[in-house]
Amino acid sequence: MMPEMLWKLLEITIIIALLIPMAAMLVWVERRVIGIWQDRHGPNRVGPFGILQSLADLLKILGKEDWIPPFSDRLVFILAPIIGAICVLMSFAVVPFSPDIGVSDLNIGLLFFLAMASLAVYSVVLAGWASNSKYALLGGMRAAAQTVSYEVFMGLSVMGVVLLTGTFNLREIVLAQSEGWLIQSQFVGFFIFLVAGIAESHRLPFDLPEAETELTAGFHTEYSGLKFALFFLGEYLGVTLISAMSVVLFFGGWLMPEPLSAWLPPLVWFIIKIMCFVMFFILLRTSLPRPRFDQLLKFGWMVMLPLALLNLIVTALLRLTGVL
Amino acid sequence: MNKEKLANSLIFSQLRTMWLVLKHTFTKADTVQYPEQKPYLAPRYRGRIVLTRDPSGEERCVACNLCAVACPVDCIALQQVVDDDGRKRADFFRINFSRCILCGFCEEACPTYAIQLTPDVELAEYDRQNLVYEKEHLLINGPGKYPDYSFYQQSGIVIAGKGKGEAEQERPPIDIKGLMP
Amino acid sequence: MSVSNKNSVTIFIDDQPYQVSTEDNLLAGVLSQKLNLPYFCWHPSMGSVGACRQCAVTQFQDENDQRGRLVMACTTPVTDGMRISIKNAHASEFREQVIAAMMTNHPHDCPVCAEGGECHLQDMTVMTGHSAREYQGTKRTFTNQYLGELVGHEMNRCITCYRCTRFYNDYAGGKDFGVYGSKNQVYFGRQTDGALESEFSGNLVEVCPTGVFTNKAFSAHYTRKWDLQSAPSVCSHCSVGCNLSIGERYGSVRRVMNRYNPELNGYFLCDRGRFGIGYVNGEQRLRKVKGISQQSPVQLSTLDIAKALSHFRLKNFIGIGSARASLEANFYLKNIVGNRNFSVGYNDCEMQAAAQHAQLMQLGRTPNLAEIETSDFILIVGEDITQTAARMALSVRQALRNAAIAKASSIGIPSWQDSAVRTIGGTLLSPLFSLNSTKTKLDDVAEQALLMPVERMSLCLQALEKLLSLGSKETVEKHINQHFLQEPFLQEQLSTSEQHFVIAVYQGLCRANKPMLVSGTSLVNAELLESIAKLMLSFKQDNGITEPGLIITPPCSNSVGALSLLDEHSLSIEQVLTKLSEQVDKEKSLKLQGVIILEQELAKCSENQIQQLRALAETLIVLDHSENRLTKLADIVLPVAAVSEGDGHYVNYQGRAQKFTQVHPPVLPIQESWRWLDNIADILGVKVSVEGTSVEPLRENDKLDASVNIKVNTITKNSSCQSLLQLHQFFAQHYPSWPELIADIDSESNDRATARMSHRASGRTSQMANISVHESKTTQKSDDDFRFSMEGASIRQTSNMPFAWAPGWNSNQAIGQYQEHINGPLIQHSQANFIAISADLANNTHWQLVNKVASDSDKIGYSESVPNSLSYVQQQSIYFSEWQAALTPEFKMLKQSNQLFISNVTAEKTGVKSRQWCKVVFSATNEQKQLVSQTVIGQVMVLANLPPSLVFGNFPLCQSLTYQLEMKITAAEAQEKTDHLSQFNDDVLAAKASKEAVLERLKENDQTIPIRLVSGGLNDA
Repeated sequence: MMPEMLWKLLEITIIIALLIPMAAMLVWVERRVIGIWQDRHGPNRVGPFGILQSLADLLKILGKEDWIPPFSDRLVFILAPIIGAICVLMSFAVVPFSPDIGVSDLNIGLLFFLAMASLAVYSVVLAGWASNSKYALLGGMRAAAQTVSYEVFMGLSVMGVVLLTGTFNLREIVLAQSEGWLIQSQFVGFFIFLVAGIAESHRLPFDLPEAETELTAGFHTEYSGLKFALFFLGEYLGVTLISAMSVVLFFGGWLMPEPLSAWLPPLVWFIIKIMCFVMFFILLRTSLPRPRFDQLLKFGWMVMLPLALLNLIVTALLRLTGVL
Repeated sequence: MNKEKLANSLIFSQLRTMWLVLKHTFTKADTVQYPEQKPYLAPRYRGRIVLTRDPSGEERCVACNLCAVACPVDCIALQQVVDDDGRKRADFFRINFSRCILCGFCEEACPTYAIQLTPDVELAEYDRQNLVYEKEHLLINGPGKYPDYSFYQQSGIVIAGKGKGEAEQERPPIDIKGLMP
Repeated sequence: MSVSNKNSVTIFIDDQPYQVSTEDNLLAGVLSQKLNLPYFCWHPSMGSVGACRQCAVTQFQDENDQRGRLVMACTTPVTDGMRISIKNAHASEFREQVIAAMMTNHPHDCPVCAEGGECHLQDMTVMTGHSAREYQGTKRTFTNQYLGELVGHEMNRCITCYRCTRFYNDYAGGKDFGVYGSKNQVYFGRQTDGALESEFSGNLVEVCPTGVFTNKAFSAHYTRKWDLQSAPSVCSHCSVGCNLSIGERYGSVRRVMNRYNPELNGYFLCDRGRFGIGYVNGEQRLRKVKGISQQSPVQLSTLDIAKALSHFRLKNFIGIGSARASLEANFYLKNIVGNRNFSVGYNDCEMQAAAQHAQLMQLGRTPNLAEIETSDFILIVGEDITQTAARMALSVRQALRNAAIAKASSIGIPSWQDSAVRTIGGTLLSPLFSLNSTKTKLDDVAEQALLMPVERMSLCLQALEKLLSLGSKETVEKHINQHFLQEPFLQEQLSTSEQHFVIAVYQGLCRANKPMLVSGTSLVNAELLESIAKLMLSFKQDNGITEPGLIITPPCSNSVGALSLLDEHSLSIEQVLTKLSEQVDKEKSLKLQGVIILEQELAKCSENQIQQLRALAETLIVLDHSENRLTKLADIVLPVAAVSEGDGHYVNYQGRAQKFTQVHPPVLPIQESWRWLDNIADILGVKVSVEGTSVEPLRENDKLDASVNIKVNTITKNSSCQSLLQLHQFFAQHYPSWPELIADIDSESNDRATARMSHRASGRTSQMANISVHESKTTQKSDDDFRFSMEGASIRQTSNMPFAWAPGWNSNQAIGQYQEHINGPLIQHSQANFIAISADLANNTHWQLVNKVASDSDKIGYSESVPNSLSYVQQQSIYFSEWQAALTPEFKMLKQSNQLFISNVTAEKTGVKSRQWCKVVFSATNEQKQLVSQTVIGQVMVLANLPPSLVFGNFPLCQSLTYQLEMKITAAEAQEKTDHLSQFNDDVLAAKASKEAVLERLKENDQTIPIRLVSGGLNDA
């Protein structure tokens, strides 16, 4: 019993210890990749290829004054970024990284992920509220409206997967795809999940809560130093999480078709898949403009929600008729 | 719906954009790797400001204040003095480069070609105070872009070595008590 | 814009109807509509000559006329329904070509020209659109002249508009300037190099449309107009109270320009006003506190003052105010020390004169300068106004032209046709009569000018008064015809020339519609003022003669303000000394602790009196801006702000209170005298009469006014005053006598303050960058109508314009854009504020004139009994008569060697010739006192019409010599003359050195601009 617990703790520690540097690296990767796409170099000065840029940024951000605005709600102001980071990290608990790596095989793993994703919005709303400034509040309000809207059909989009696999356990969902990835039958579901995922993690083109052209920096306008770093961390962990969930739900997790699977260990395949998604997120960021907020909500409720429902109904009908 | 419209419709337009961006993975970066690689700066590039001298080696600046008034960030301050040789000079001439936006208006305003912008852009200091340039920091030992121009040879005022009527395009002074018409 | 003038008609300018007055020419009409039409030779107050051909417009016959013809707007009268075009291509091309022609010879000088940036020629060139020089030939040149220390000369720039000579010779009556040469070689200057003699030479700087004449003092430490921080101010050098715009840059005062006030100075200033500002930067300036130890090494704080003065808490002092300190400071001092301990530094004679002056101020409203200019008869008695109130003399000169203008208008020539009026007028002048003790510059234009000692002036006025009291004009005429020169009162006392004078004055008065009587207090003679008062009363009788406007010019900028504070308890200097000596054996609590002297140099006091004052005063606290005898003797010296550095009010000769505004905050510890007094009042308390005060008395003084029985309490103030407004509120709260000044009302209604700088002021992020690269905030001020920055309301919105500027009009002539109509009031004008002068001072019998019949006969007459007895009068001088202006180094360089004017009788007696260098020994004949004598080496000038008992010269006599003088004249030996001349040369060289030293110091100052965050007292650096 005890060694098992210790083993789990070690596993959690390792996962966190890898995830957080990875999120930091992601910042550098994103800047370099965007640089390449924009015919620039991106940060290439610190260390070979600028790989230590994130470390330099980290050192700088640690050296910054940890300023709490005197007009803010102090306690909430401090709590908000912590909630954000914790919620995202908690979600990783149910992600099956490989056949034998994964913190928890929760039988409602998918629901847990959805719950945590919803909780994460508190971080943004509270940050906006506690900052006691107009930009931050507007950012927080946008985040709330956006998350509530996109939450709905995010949940609906993955119900197709649940219908087909018959389980909420993510590991089982992966295993259920050994015959073929769910993307084949659930392409619409995947599309909806992806869009909702972008919106949930406030990435461009759906980064309206922090739209710098309108709201300075949105909900984290007043944040600086370590607390700002936590928000930053949360955002990039969020990107990784959505990528991981997409892979788990629609692209077979660590599974690969027969000849390929033998070449590399399953964890590496999983990470490669995740990285593809991350690259896709970055591509979205470089190429797509930000919609207006009303367009965003309209798109959510008028297009995505009916589409998600339709997808669910069609999947259910096909399932009933035995086609799938 | 024709092709073009379809391409521009919601989803295709987005996908096309993404494709176009993705294609840039294989294009060369435009960035110049400064400082290892120095960019070419034209001789008339608007960089660090200098004060030049006329062909005879005297200061060109007559402290007329036109550069100061033209400066959109008000970063030039000076005070005129009249020296014993009749020339007007700046008692002090100060440019606060920490404010300067290198717009070149001062150069355009200068009626004596004294103030000129040079292709030196490397103006960085750890202490802002070091970006305050006084006259001795600004003065160079040459005429800059206009090697032949000397303001006092055009002007009607007297300086040491040039009396009334001795400037270019001037007749000798009139004898007001003369009776000749 | 509508002109509410009966004579306004509708004219069409570029097919737009405008209401234009027919009283002025078309150019003035066009400019009154705020339309842009270039001009050079026309000047709003000098009229038109049509010399420059610049204001050409096209005039059309009627609406069908397409061609029109060119007319010069300045020489075209306005007629009803006339149609003109400014934009018409012919006219605008013509105007451009006129400029192009002027520019053929104009040098390439703008960068080194002091006029650049406020140059009328630049403005007009831009206005015509002339931009490229097509002339390829050579330029004609001229050599310059040395025109003295005040005005620089750069003749190459001349465009021959003739304005300079029209101002200097025609308007101001100068004689040493003229036009030479012909055709394209016209030269404006003097016959030989030398200082310009006119008192108004400085106006050439503003009158010249380009940079031929420049302000030399300004050029030596030059800055462009757009960089000047300016504030509306009032001249501190004489009682006229001309409105000035003082300009500052980098923490030092640069120059003074005229500020248009249609009722006073109009467009012109005198040289004392324009150049006398030099004292502000002078070497004698006090910049440190003496006698107060400073705790912090950085700056003096109010706490230091409180500590230094703490043992004087609620103690009594004697306060000596002055006529050059602001009204606020004098009023404050009076109430700190109480009215029984207050003096304004006048001696007994001056107090008597002041008492008479106060009574004269009761007689009615004193005319302003604009009213003087409309006068047709002027009598000047005992005041050389060209030297003591110079701007007024310029107005008097304009009044003299009224006869010519009337003659011209009788044949249909309007007054603005300047050269035509001058041609028809010839030498015709309105009558000016002058009675003076010294030669004056107005004598030349006077119908009769007599020189006589002051006592005889009184006699002449008495004779005139008797003539007036005879009855109606006809009676008197008959009387004069029948008994001419046989009238006993005329015959006995007056000489023939005096009788002629009196009769001529009477006849002039009979013809006059708007007569003026101008006198002054510089002779310090109460009897003269009394006889003026009697004379004025005789006009009240119904004898068909218009009562003249009475103008009394006191010497200082705030003399009338000081006068308004004098009451029956006010002390003279002699009384101050007596009171102090009486105090010696009084009990301690009542003892006077010392004397507070406010901006007072006590020039009229002898060295002996000063020493006495020093000895008797336990503590001598002196507040002044420049060093003088008293600051050297004082225990505590507090450096005060000069006029450009502080706020306050001056009261001019009319009783008009005018605010002068801080141009820039002074370097601490210099602060306004009222702020120092405020610090002092925090400790000494202020005296308040019991009635009308809500403040709790701290300690009752046991002084009880015997007659009125009002208790006087000493109270402590609740808080110190941060601003002039708070000070006024404090005064208004506690003293019913404090006049309500218009500035207080203004600042409440004015929600946006005006910028002191132009919107193009430069160097903001660099001027202090050598001290710190981090820019400091601009200095703030709590109650001011003006900001120390380039941000603020447009000058269009204020009646007190800090400077004149309008789009397209960079020179001072921009003022035309702000006048209701040309020469009219400002669009945003505020009512003049006159304060009441009480005659309380005359209630004190000490200052009343007693008719001592016996002594009178001793005084008057030619004093045959004492053959050598004579009176010496010092000539007034525009440069040196006022203490502050005399500190200006440029003025010191204009000093003249000693001259003594004697009559030909005396000359014959002593055997000296005119222009001979002589040694003159003056000695007092008074038997009671010991013989005092003074020896003067000087050039003797012989005047034929001078009474033998009168001599005058340009040097001061020592104070202990009274008017009962004896004089011995002998030819000076060569050595003595050389000594005197070398001494004189040394003085001039010293002045030059002092000017150089000032310039050096100013240059240093430019680099260390003081940073003050708030301009509100000692504790806010």
